[in-house]
Amino acid sequence: MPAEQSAGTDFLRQWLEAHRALFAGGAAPPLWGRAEALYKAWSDGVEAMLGAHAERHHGPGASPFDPAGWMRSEGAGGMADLLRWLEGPAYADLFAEQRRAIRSTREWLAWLAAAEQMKAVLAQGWLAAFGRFAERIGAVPPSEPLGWSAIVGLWQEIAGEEMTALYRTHAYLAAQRDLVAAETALRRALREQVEAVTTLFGLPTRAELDDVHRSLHAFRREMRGLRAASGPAPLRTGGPRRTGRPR
Amino acid sequence: MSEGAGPRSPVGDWTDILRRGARVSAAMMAHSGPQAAIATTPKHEVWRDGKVSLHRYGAPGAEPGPLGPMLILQGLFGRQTITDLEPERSLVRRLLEAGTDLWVIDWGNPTRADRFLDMADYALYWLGDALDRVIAETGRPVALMGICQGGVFALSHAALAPERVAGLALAVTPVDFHADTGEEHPERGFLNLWARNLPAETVDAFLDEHGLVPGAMTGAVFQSLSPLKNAAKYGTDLLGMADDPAALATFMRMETWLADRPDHPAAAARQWLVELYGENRLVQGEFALDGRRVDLGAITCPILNIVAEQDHIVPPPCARALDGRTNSTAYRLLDVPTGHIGVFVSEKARDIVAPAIADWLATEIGSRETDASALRR
Repeated sequence: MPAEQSAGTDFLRQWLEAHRALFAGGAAPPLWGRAEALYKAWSDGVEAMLGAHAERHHGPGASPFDPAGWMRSEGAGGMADLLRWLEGPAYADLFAEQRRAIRSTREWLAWLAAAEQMKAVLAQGWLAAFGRFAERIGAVPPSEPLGWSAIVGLWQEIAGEEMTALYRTHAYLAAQRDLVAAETALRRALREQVEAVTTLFGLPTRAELDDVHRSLHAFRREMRGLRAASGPAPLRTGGPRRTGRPR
Repeated sequence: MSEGAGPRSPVGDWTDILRRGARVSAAMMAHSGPQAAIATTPKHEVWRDGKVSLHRYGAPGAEPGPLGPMLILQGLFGRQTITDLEPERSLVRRLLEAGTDLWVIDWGNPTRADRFLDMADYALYWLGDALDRVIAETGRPVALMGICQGGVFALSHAALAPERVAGLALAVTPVDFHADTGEEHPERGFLNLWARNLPAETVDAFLDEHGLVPGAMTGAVFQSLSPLKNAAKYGTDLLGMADDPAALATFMRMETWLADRPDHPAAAARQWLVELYGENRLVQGEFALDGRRVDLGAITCPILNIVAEQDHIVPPPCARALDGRTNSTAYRLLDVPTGHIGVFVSEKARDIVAPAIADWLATEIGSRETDASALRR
């Protein structure tokens, strides 16, 4: 019988015996001892189950019981997917507010995952640097200790080499792409949520201001074209000359 | 191993660190605020359009230098004040002493309201307005000194409106944005690699949401290019300056410049990141400003290409790639043994860059003057 199944059976047996003890009266073994046995059976069962999952799902975050995996980005089976499922289908504008809130949470989780991914990749570089540094320091004869600036110089040299190599790896570049995309998606989700509220109260939104600035820029371009077509403006020498209006 | 201070007794080490730390702290207090002022060479405003302004060095009405007008333009990722960090490290002062009639454009501080400004607004229109103003004041065509992205502005203008430009002095200017792949030093070219790493739709979405590239983010990216050097800069390097008040003052002024990093308008940033860094359109002859193709082959004026040999921001091959891509009548390459910023502020560059520019102005530009009346808008 597999360990996971065996632990589960043991837990069930202990649970039944504990209940029998609870209702059997004075002839049964002490209740506290039964509770301890029940807890042990439960923890053995959980450990066996986690161990079995760890064997089936390799790598950090791969097992559904590993919290590191809960923050996986959308489409990878993490919390983001659960929230996407909760968000449900869109029927006209029904539950639009709730869907926006769920989307923001989903993007926040994706951003956390991307940030963790970047931290993990960077940590690999720093750990490699620490390893090499410790090795080099350990090789220094005790009779010839290094001065503090030599130690710092050694660290800078080694860590610089490791980080330079890391910056060109596929893992770093992928983490960088994901982090920028996740930060942008989160920012967009939050902005849309905020703008829904500001629109409700008739306040100007960022998107409306952008529209104004886009029109203004096009207008200025057009004015410049018209000015150029009408010939150069007369120049006067001397003090400062201003064209256009201060912005 | 990096060169260090060598073996010392631990007590002496830590005592020394504390002593140096105290001296650095005192110096930082003494050199903060007005003491860390930069760009102090006298100049006066000649023209302004909104946030963009044109300045001429010297007092109004002063006799201009005999080498003719030269206009300094930085890009939008850093401020032009780097050319005048402090009197002892001022490219501006050295050029004025050499006899240049020096002008500078200040692009101001764009905000989110400026998100639709693209490179045509800067490189074609505002630069054109400024050049017209300089020409009107001096009666002479103008040599442009473009720095980094400002060099691309200068190249674009010289290609599209050559009549205004007497010559191009380009400093740390990327031309072939994919030439970093030929760079032998792995610590250089991360900007190129990382910009190519981001799909165009990711850049578009980012710029659409932010409306600009925040200056603080630009600064953080630059710092992350060499994290260990930056850690050393604020650690051992700073402690090493403890007994050198002049070095500490320079350090504080550099920090003032670094902290004054402007935001970059989104539309111009899209061209920079996607069309140039991503698609390398400039050397392919496909880069366009307001619908007008920038043809480097249309540039015929003299060029002085200043390349920083240890540049980790614009790898030297990216800048040297200008050679042979224009029809310049006189192309000069000046290799400077510094990094990106060192071209303007380092002691090593002090006796190289300004004299080379002055010589170039005297020999290449001075002999090719055009009558201002022949200039057309």
